[in-house]
Amino acid sequence: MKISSGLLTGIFVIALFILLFFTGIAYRQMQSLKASERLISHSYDVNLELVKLFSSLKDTESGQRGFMLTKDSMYFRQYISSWMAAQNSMDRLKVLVKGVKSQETTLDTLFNLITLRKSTLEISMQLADGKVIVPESVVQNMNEGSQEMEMIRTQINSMTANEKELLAIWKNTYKKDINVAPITYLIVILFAILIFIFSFYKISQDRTELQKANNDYLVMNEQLMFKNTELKKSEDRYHLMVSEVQDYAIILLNNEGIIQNWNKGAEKIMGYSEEEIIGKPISVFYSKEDIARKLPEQLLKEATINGKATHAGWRIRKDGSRFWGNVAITTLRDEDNNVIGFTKVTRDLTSQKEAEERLLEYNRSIEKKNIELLASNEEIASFNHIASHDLQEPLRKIQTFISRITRENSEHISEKGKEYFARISTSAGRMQQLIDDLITYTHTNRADKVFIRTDLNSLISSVLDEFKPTIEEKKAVIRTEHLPTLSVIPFQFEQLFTNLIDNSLKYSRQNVSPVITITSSIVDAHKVPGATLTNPKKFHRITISDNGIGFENQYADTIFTLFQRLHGKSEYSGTGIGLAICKKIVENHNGIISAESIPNEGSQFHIFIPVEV
Amino acid sequence: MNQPPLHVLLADDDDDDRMIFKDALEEVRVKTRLTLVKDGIQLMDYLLQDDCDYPGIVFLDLNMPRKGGIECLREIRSDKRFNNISLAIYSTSASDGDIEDTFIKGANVYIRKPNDFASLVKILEDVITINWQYHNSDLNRENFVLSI
Amino acid sequence: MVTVCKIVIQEQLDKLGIPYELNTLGEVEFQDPISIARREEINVMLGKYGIELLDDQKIIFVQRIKDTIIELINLDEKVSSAKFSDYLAQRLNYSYGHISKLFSDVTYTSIENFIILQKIERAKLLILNQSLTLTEVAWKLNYSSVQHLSNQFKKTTGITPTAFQRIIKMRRLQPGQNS
Repeated sequence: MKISSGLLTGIFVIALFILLFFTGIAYRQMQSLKASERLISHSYDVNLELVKLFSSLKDTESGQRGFMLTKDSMYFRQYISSWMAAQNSMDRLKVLVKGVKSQETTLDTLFNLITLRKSTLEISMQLADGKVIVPESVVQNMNEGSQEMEMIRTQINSMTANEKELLAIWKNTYKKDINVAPITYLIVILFAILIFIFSFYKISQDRTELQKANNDYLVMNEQLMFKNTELKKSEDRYHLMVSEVQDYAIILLNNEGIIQNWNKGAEKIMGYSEEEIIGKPISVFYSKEDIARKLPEQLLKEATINGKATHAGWRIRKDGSRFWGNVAITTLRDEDNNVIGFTKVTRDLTSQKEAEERLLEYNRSIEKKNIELLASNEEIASFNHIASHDLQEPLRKIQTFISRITRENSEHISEKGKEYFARISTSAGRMQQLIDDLITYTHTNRADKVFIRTDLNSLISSVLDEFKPTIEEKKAVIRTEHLPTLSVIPFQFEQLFTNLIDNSLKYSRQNVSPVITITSSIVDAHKVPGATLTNPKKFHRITISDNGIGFENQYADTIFTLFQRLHGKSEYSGTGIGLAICKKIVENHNGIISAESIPNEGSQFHIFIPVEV
Repeated sequence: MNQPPLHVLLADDDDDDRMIFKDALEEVRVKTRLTLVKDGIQLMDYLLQDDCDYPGIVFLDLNMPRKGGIECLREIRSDKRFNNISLAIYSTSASDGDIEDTFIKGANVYIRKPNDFASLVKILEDVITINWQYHNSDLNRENFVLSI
Repeated sequence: MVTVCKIVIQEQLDKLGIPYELNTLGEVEFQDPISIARREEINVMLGKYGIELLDDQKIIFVQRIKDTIIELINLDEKVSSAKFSDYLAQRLNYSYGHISKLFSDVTYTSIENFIILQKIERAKLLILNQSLTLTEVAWKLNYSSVQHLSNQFKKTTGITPTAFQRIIKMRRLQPGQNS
């Protein structure tokens, strides 16, 4: 039987409590026994006192009668002293009966009767005062008195009977208690014995276990000594193993760097046999250049100072070919801390080295490709720029000439001709817009970005200034909340808001005045669509909402793609570049742009910009 | 007493642009007379001739063969004789940075060639009026910077 | 051209038989006082050649208008632009309509534009004087806000006040710069 010490303590504590509990019960039983005893004796006292009271009352009566008949003061004294004795008994009874309700009430009635009786006696004494012949009234009074006396007797009898009943109950309890008490004591004693037995058992068991552990220890000691000899054997095997290791050259050098010991690995890596090499200096593995710069000596010196030295470099084999060796030299010292030699572990990492170099070469070529790519990107950008510029020239002239013709020669042009010119002008204008937007788009690509802390409120207000004519024309309402101050590329952000507001004004519903609301708040990253774990925790969210024609939510992503248009050119002007520019700008600021919409109710564009930490 | 017409010079290699410019200038209310050159070399030759009739304002196209507008800008601004000449760049639209760069090099005005004749007339009128103000109202010409 | 101009004037005046003297500056000096009718005749004659007759009085008056405006703008005490017209009319003793028309006839700009131009010029000087912030400049020139000043600056010059400040600073650093 194995019991943890915690459990054992627990058992003992519980046992102690049980023991205390039973002792408590035993104590209480003793108390109740004593109480029963006291009650029984008390009951006897009450009975005795009642008898005394009745006899005293009788004495008063006889005293009174004697006095009335003889007028002898001796009877009067008897009368008085009997009353005093009765009073005494009454007081004692009062104390004795206290606490027993039924007896108390009976006693009260009794006392009342006694008081009544006393007054009756007194009255007859007054009536008869000084008169020898007893008048009628006295006789009547005396009759009443004897009636009262009869009632007192009845009352006392009933009390005595009552007390008898109580006595019977108490006697019963006493009998019960006196029967139970020995059982309780027996239980306490038995339990105590049980605990004792258990404790003894436990102690003896622990002793046995201790003894057993001692024995085990002795056995173990023996085994250890056995193992020691085994170790010795294994050491020999280890030496054998070292000499057989093939992947590592493990060499023992004396304190001057002369080779003392050679293993299979050394033979395999360096190409020398054991006979050839033992006694040669370590420098045979080093190239002429390394020997000239005293690398072998330096490594041994480093190992002497630091306890070990590591080095990686090209080494020479017996056949003159080279290999990439990874060398670790460890100093060996005797008990007096004198250097007695070195171990030198060399690993041939030529293939790894070559792979590494190939990787490096590969990286370099990627880098070069990257540079080329960057250059070609730059070229594309500048081509784009120039092309847009050169495209603009003829277009601008066409527009200028048309504007001149229609302004100055309109009376000479037929209606049809005027319409054609109007159409040419519209087309040219569309192309102009396209080119302008493309220039902006490529411009947005450029890397020369200067971030400046900018108050978006004033930025928006200058953007809105530009829209004043359109806002007035369309009777648009634009509400702006307080916006934050952010570190942004100001002209790009101006472009961003310009495009979004332009969008909202452009795609307004017919006969509905545009209402555009610009709000701002800070949101957690998990509320940002498309935010990844690498994103910062919090974002500024700037929302531009309108009440325009909106779009089907399935297009929420595609609208940001270049040249993506959801409407016919004749319905709504636009090049399909504006929102692509917005996306690019927001991305330039490490942000995210998203859109949601309900057709014919309005759209919301959200700009998320990371909160700077 | 009469105000002499303002002498305006345009250097632009594009025939159409020179024609449009000439037509537009004629519609400007301020009286002007125009000299036309086709590139930077012609411009500098004109300005460097002895007893040159200096223009009050030179309009310079940036992209010209042989000698470009920026080069002319630099040469004109490094010659004290041309101190009183206002320089207006007359070119296709460019980035704000490029425009700022021409101002730093000494241009007074940057005009993005508009694609509407009426706008060009308006622009030229504005430029010439403001230039006239700088010449006649004791304004500090160093601070003459206008981007249209 | 100046010589061509002179010849035209000489020819025309000779044709009308008006005695005059022409000095080297190209200024014509009439020897006798000329009547209003005569003036009109000369004006029509020269108008054909694009030459306009301006009398000293007009130019002097425009100069007075300009001086008054510049004086007002440079005054430390601030005057709102609405009061400008009243002030000019009162100072020059003519109706504002008359002043305004005369001004634009001679200068090809409206008085309002001239005032804005002058204010912006003054703003430029103040901006270049590094001790003042843009807010202070706006306040000094009686603009309701920096935004208002910036907007008008941008509208008038095409560039922002800060860009202007940057340009002039960089321009002064340019070698061989003398403009």
